[in-house]
This record gives sequence, structure tokens and C-alpha cells, in this order.
Amino acid sequence: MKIIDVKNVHKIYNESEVKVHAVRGIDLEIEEGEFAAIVGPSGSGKTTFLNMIGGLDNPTEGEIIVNNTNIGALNSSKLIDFRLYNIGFVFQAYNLIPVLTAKENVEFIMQMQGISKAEREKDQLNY
Amino acid sequence: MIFNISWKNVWRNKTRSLVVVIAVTLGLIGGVFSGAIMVGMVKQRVYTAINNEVSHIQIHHPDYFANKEIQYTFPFHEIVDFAEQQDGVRSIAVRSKVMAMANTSGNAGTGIMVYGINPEQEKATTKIYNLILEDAGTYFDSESKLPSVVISQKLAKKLNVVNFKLTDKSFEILEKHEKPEFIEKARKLKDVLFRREKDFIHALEDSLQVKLSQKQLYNFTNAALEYKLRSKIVISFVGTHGDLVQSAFRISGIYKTTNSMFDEMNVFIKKSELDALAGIEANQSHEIAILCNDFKSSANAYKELKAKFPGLSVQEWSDLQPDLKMTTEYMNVYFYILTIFILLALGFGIVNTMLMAILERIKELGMLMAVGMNKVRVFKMIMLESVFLTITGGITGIIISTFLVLILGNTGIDLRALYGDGLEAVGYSALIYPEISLKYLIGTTILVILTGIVAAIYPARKAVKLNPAEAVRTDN
Repeated sequence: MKIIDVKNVHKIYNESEVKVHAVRGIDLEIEEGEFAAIVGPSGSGKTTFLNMIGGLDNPTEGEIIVNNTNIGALNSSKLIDFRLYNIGFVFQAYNLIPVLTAKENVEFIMQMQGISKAEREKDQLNY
Repeated sequence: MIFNISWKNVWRNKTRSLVVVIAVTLGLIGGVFSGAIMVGMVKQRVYTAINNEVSHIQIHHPDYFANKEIQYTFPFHEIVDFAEQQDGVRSIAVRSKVMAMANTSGNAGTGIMVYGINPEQEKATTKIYNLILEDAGTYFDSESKLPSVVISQKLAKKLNVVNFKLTDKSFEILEKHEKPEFIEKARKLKDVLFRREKDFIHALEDSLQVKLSQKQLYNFTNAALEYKLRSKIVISFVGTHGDLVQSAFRISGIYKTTNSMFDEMNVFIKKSELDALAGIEANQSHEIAILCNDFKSSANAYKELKAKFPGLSVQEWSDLQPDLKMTTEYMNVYFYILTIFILLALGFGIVNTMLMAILERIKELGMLMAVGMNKVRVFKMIMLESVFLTITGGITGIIISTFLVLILGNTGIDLRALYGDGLEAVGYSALIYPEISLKYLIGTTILVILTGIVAAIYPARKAVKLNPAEAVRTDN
């Protein structure tokens, strides 16, 4: 089963006068359980691509289907919920919520997902 | 969890948050405390107006207020009988009132209002008998061949029936308030009698070789003040038949209320004596004053009396002292206006602080949104931070000011030496007992929370509008 299916994805940044074509027509399929690494020189569009399949950014053109959901068609609030339940991020500089303890940091996402306290406490111990 | 994060976020930058908390605390102490002083002053004023001056209800001849002429009397028995039957009526005082001139040997004369009263009725209705000054006689209890009169301290000074003399007792009083070296120097004036206040002050400043402050003058003149009780006052007025009536009275007692306008005008003699002199029949009166248990029973009694005696002028205290009614109602509004302005100013400070708090956390906010924190939660988190910040300062401010009000509400704030004359000239006591009601405290707490919410709207909107993909890449 395909977990990620990317079809002809383009991303053009229009923020400045000069248009930046960051990603040009990517097609990619990743199967469930498959391990994939994306490599390339600095500025080649790795982060832009990952942001798009992570639901942080929308493609200018093309289709991104993650876990059978076309995330390019989701509005911003649906996209947030999609991220909450489907995506895990590890950022370049690892980000934690500094005012919370390690345990609370783990618990925080689960709490937003509406997982009960008992279950949260059980799960925390596995981390 | 959002509560937990918000609360902890408030204390990430302790100094910055503390500055805001202290600003809110001080702002609220200022607002609540000055409001409490005003409320206390007005409540005291209403209390003294009702208990010393106008009572709850007054009844007059309908034409009496036009000119206060002596012929506008009315028979009082039926009214008194009816009023006594009303619920909540505590006491009734029947009075004759005449505009007159008062003269003494040392004074050219001054205009006064003579109240002809029944002392027993009056003791139950007004508190003037309680306000007879120390060593200043009694409220119609002394024996005399001449009829007795009770006048105020203010009028006594005006009519020159006072002396200024520093005695042993004066020095005992002064030792509590004044510097020993001043007292030593002032001893030169011991037992020297001055008939006028300004002569006494002049001599005092000469012997102390300083210009005395207002507070010192107050202390020295009050300690030296003596009343020439049993002095004779001649009161003259036009009687009911247009004849000039003149009669001598002996001072029985000297009172002082906190309203010097009232004090300057009003003197009290027995109704029977005034009626006999003026030619007023014994069953007639100019004024009936009714004291009730509370404002509610007063409103009921007022309604009943007004309906029963349409031919007479029946008025409530608020009709008799409309300024006071206005002040009482305005006070409620004043307190909130003051608090709202203070909080408005503080609100801008909070907006600034919250904007700073967001600007330095853009990356973290982006990360939270990336991992699935929705806009409602982000908005709620920022709102809560602002509310926590404001409410911490707010509650501290309210607690401190409540303590201040409770302490000073017991001891009173004594401005008698500094502003006594000024405040008493407009009827307010210069010994102020600040007062605050639970309603105001709850109202203020709600306003504080509202300030926190309103101040957070702009910063929270800014946070919500962040693009998580960009925010996580920022450098802070």
C-alpha cells in the first residue's frame, strides 16, 4: 500500500519580485514500511518538499496524497488536524516546549489528540 | 495543559512579567483606594445629612420654601398620628422655624435660622445632642432664668462668644501633637486671654518666632479655645403679626457637625418658647422631620404621606438635598470610570509585553502549530497568558487595597488639620473612613479579566497568523 504518493509537484515562491522555482515536477511513491532518505545539496528544495508532504506548505501545482488523503486540497484547519493525527516531525534543531518537562512534552501531543490521562501515563513510560 | 503552559510562559521572563504585575497592582491600588475614599466621603455625607440635617422625610406648608416666611405653618397633630402608624418610621420631630438675626455684645449681628424644637423628639430624630463639644455645655439640660439656645462652634466664633487661652489642660493636649520646644516657648502665653483668634495667633507666632503651619495653627487654636457659656445672645425676628420680636437667650451648649454651612446658620431653642415669642399657635408647625429605619421604609412612608396629605409639601431627603442624590448616584459611575481609565492605560502596556513575548517565541509557536496545535488553542494560550498576567497584578492590587481600606476604614484618614475648613465648608467630614463594597471588588475583578482579554486580542491574532513552515525556520 502506498503511504505517500506525489504527482508532478511544483513549488514556486512569489514572495519577492523574482519568482523562485524551488521544486520542479516531483513524482514519488513510498510504500508503507519503506525507509527513504532524501539527499541533495543545500538549496535543492529538500525542506520545501518535506514541508509539503508534512502538510506545512501547499504545492503550487500537483497532488500530494498521504495516507489516502489529498493534503493539497485541505484547508488550513483541516491540515492542522491532519498533522496532529498523522505526521511526526523531527526538526533540524530539535524543538521542545521549554517550559514543560520531558514527560509533559511527550504527553502534550497526546493530550491534544484527546487521549485519556490513564492511557497517556501508560504510553509515556514507553518513551 | 494549555493552562499549565500559559502559566509557565508568563514566568519565562520573570522581570518583564513582574514589571507588568507591579504596574497593574499599583494601578489598582490607586483606583480602588481613591474610589474607596470617595465612596466613604459620600456615605458619611449622606449619613450626616440624614442624621443631623434633613432626616428621611420632611413636611412643610407648600409655600414655605418660596420665602421661608413665618406665616406658612400647618397643624401637625393629624400628620404626626398618621406618620407614627407607618412601618419603619423611627421618630418624628415637629419644629417651628424662623429666619432671624443674632447679636451679642461683641458682634454686629448675623443672619440665622432659629429652630424651635422639642428636645426629646429631636434627640430621637437628629444627632446634634451627640455633637455637643467637650466643655461646651449641654443640650438644653442646664437651668437658667433666660431661655436656652444651642449654637454651633462656627457661630460661636462668629458671634465672639469664645476666648483663646492656653491653660494647663491645653498644654496637656498639645504635648501629644507638638514639638516640646514649641510648647516651652508657648508657655509664655499661659493663662493670657485673647478675645479674637487672630490676636492669639499673632501673639503665638511672636513668642515662637516662626510662621506656624496650618496644622500647627489648628492644634494650638483648638487647644486654646474656650467657650463663654452662659453668654447672652439676642435674637430678633419679625413675628406672625409683622411686629419685631427681640429676646435674649443664654447659650446652653455648643455643637459642631461636619457641615460648616449648616453650623453657621442653625441655632436651636425650645419650640414652646419660639411659638410664644413669634405668636405661633401651639398646634402649628413649620416643619415635620421624619427619621425612618432605612431607605426602603422611608420610600414607603413617603408614598403614604404624599397620598394622604396632597395639600402639603412632602419631600424625601433626595428632594431636599438633590446635590447629594446626584453625588451618590455619580459615585457608582465615578468608581468604574476611574478604574476603566487606569486599566485602559495598563492595557496598552500589556499589549506591548504580550507582543514582545510572541516575537521572541515565533519558532516555538511555529513548532507547536506544526505538530498540530490548532489556531483556537494558540489563541487560547496567548489569551490565558495575558489574563494570568493581568489577574496576578489585579488580585494582588485588590487584596492590598482591601487591606488598606479595612485598616484605614477603622482608624480613619484625618485631614481635619489640613483640609478641615475646606471640606466642612461643603458639608464633608475631614475625618474620612474609606469604604469599599463587595460589588465594587467583584466589578473590578471582572474589569481586570476583561482588560487581560482585550489586551491579548492583537498579539494573539498575530500569533495565529504565523505560517508554521516559515516560523520554524526563524532564528529566535
